[in-house]
Amino acid sequence: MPRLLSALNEWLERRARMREERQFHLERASADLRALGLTAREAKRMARIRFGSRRNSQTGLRELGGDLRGLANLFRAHRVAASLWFQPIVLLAAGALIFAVSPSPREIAEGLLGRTFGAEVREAVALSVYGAGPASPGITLTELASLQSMATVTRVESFGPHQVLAQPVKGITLAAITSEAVARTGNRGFYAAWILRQPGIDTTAAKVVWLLAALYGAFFLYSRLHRRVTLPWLLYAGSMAFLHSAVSIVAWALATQLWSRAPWSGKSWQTPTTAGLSFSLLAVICLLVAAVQCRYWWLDLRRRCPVCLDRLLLSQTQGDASRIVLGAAITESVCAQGHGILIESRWSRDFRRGHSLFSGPTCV
Amino acid sequence: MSKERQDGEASIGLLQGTLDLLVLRVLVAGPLHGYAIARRLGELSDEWFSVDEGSLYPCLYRMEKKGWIRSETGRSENNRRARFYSLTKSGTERLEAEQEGWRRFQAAMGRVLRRA
Repeated sequence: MPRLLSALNEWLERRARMREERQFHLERASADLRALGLTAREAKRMARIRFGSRRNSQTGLRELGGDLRGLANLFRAHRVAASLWFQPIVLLAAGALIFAVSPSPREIAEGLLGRTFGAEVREAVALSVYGAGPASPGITLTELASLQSMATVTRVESFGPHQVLAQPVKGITLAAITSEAVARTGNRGFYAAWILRQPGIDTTAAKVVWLLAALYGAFFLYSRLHRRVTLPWLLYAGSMAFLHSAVSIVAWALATQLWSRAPWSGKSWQTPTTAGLSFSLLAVICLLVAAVQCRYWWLDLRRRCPVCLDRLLLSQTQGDASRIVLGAAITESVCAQGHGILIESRWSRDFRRGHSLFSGPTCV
Repeated sequence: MSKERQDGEASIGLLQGTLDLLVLRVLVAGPLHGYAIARRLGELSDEWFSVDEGSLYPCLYRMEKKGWIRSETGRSENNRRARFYSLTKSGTERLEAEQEGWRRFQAAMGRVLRRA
């Protein structure tokens, strides 16, 4: 965080310098022109013309390092990407951005945190028969035809042998629907009940991703890293796994929102086959995104010092890749804080604490 | 790129790379801020050189990056905060080298023009 802030601060100072110098120049120039007899407005205009086009300011910013390329160079110079806070900030920013572009950010929040606000919405009506079961005959075709001619509901559709779904007319009550159904079919066993839509996003698949990411991280942390795993490592790895998974879930929620609003989605969801295919496609995309995140997170963890979690530097490879047995290539990386050296080969990975470039077996 | 001056004669655009030499030469007299450098250039050349005053600043920043000049904040003649530029040791050396190069260029041009 301090590195990011200092890089941003320096960048903003450069831009402020350009702005101040330009302002000073224009003010002095217009003051001199006013002294020659021009009006204030004419003097300002003449000073701006003599200063030249905006291209001069853009070129000046580029030379000063106050443009976007300069900002990238500053990030590199201050080693912002090596900072422990870089990845969490990027993940949180990505999550905030997804919330911002989501058509219904409230639904994402409800899907993540549970339903803490919002009322139930009466979406449809289900017409069933009392005592319906596997042994009962179910709703006959004649009864279905009678229900489809009802005035209190529209879009009557069969939903299994013992139930139909329908859209109620606005302002109608359950009692009115029930009495009309009984009157039209002659079956006093009919009753109506509301189908309620719970506001929120179905995060079932994303939670599976969440669990997989956590298991992936825990397993590889235990099996691959140095056996003496320190608490900061565990906390950092746990927090990264949580953040990556949360971003995956939020991205999933956004994807389902956008899918449901697509022009073709109404037709696509009508049949179980297309609905299943669409769901599978979204799940695969979400899994791929989560896999990429996990891989990046894992590679990042492997490049950090186990003591201070700062990124290891100055990687140098010794040995020969063709001499696998007698002189296998090893790579040494150093912790900038002096906590030790990481020595990696094709088969092993060892962090030697307390060693530096100027001591121990690697010293020349 | 030439512009019509008040006396009807066309002023001359700067050759690329000569602005550095001119700015270094102007700074020999002492630290100046950007506007003062632009005014001094205009006075010394009798407004012959047509250069956008704003193009001075990219030149100043570039030379500062190369270490030929340094900058520091100070107070201008009207007590406003301004950034003053001054020559460094390597800037002085660079100026001498550029001046020597310009003298040779002048001599070569003169020879061609006389003999052609």
